[in-house]
Amino acid sequence: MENGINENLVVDEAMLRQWESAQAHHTSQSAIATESDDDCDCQDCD
Amino acid sequence: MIEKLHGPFSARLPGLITGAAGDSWRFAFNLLEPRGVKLLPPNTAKRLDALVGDSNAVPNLKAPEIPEDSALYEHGLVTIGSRYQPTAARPTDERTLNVWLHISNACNIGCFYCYIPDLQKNVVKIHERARQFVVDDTSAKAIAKRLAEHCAANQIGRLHVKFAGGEPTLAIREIDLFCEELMSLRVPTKISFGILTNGVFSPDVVIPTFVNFKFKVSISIDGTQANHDKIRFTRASRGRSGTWSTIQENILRLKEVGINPYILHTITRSNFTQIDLFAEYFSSIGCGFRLSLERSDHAVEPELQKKISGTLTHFYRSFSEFAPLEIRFDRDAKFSEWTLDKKKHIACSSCRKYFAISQRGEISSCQMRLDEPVGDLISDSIQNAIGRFSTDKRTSILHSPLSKIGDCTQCEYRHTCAGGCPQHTRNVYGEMDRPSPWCYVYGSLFPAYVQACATHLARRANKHSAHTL
Repeated sequence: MENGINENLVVDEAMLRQWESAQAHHTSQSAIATESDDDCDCQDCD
Repeated sequence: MIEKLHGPFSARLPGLITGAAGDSWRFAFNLLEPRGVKLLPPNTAKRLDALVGDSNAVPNLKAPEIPEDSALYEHGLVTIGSRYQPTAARPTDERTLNVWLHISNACNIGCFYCYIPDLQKNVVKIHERARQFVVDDTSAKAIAKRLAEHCAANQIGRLHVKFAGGEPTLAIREIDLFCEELMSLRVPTKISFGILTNGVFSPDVVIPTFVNFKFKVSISIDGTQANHDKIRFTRASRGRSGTWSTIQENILRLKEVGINPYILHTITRSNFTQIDLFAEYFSSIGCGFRLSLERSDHAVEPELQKKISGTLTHFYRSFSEFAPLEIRFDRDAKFSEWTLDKKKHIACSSCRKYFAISQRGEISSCQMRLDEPVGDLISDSIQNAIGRFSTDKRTSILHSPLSKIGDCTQCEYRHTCAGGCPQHTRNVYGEMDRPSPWCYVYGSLFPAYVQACATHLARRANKHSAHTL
């Protein structure tokens, strides 16, 4: 499988964010800036 | 015709949702112990399929037998000895408090579906006659002081104050005063500010406060320009004036100072057909968004639910295929209160880590119940007021979600949908122990939403493979 990383790894949001953060650091490209996770009018912060 | 509008949407036991995510990946999501969508490499996917067999039950192992078992255990997709691997301590484990500060009970527009009780609509400017609808200076300072005292006394690690209303920017001077006061008290609590605005404000007056106190800004929009301007308009002497253009100009002004607003879109019977156009536009200008369903006081007709469900399902499937890879799908194309990495027993944290404060200093369970205060923090302590959440029969379920009974506790989606907004359910049915009036939409959309999150995640993973190979 051509996923570019250890092909035995399970990939999830946390892992992708680490990769993207590292890449943004190297290329000076920032990810889209958005609100915090608990941003909504209900504050679903359980 | 939708056969079932009541009863659990799906009476299956919560288990695993699995499937293909694009051409390269399989994915899995655990409904019983939600820890986010997981993309599985082939050997791990094959192992999980073998363990699951024909059921959707979460497999239980006595011990890991092969390396793939350890990976599945690490990601919460199997149990070992009937236990999940404990999750690492997260910053969110610290004590947090989120407060809706209803700084203005007046609004400069008048959306027909607004759920705020007794709101003064279409107030153009806060003049002396309208001043009773916004917090006064003395109360603003008192609220700040009480919050600071409460945080210090209860070891609250993080306090987030969201200014709302009504239109909170009508009281921008009072917001500034409040923030100055709270920050001057220097409590050992990490304090952050947000604002929920309709985007109709004077940028030169308002944005400096946003910048000064590092506000997170959310703006309510009703779909595309045509739909938006039909609902969100100001009343001018010569008739109605849509607010879309003003808001777009203000979004640009916000971006100029480094604030990227998050967009909140309420789905109604009149705007649901243009969700795709809405999403395409706002993602193209770099804004994340949340879609949520209208909360009226009436039950929702089955045929309408079916249409909206179909539209949303098609939208999420499609958007996951072309949404920008820079976004985080489950946040920047969020639906309702769904959070795929949290196990819920009720949809929100009202009465536990969240409450609302009115412009007069009254405390209530949330902004939908400003007309049912449990106390007053100016003449009483916050602790006394929120203590009443556990004993008041109107809020006890919110305070202790495990006490909830009824069909939602039997549903496959009990820990993810978690029943939708409990106050909306109460508005319609008079109680919270019932499925949401939008139950059909929630239940039918959920698997497609998880699939969409997986598809987008897989596209992002593939992008990295191209860079790293």
